[in-house]
Amino acid sequence: MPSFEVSLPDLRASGPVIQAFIGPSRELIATFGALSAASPTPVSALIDTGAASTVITPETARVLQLRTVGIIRVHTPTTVEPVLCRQFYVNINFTNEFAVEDVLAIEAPLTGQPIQCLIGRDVLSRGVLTYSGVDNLFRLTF
Amino acid sequence: MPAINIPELETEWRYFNEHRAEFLEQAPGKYALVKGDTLVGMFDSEVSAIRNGYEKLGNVPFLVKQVTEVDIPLTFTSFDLGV
Repeated sequence: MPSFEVSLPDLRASGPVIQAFIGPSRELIATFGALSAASPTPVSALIDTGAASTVITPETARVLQLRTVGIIRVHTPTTVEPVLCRQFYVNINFTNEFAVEDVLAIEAPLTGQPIQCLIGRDVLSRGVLTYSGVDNLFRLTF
Repeated sequence: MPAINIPELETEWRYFNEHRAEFLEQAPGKYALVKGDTLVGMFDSEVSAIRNGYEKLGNVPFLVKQVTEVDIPLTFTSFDLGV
């Protein structure tokens, strides 16, 4: 099983952040061909067990020329009423050899932190997350 | 129904919600694929609906939505999404 272990100097301060590439979904590439799809774009992604779904920024969606395939209602700590968000179909490439494919990510601006993606519980439901605070490392296994 | 902040799927969103009760009677739990004010089809899975959207409609915006009585919002308890 593919596994990624990341050690950080201060895991508590930075959070479990991983470098990944967001690209068009396997289904889109299978239908239209790799040449017609944008190349995956690099992101800093925070693994967020508080996020029900994976999130990408509007800028990432724009760079990848993604087309909206859904709309979802979303609650956040600062919203009183649910807000409607776009949904895009993407792949998350963790390495050249391994991607979590066909992820229905929502689009939202990620304010206040230098990250462009939240890895949510939809992706985590496909694997195992190990977080070792005392060792300043975390591991994702799929 | 008030306008939504996603203009490329405003027609599809309105159409789905206007026909939700009818869809619920015909195909509860299935995934509706909607383009404009037309139901393209009902599918057993989200991936199947999206695949059919790409194949039948092309790489254009379309709406895939599970047919449920009400929408359950996704929750984000740890991050301010800025929405």
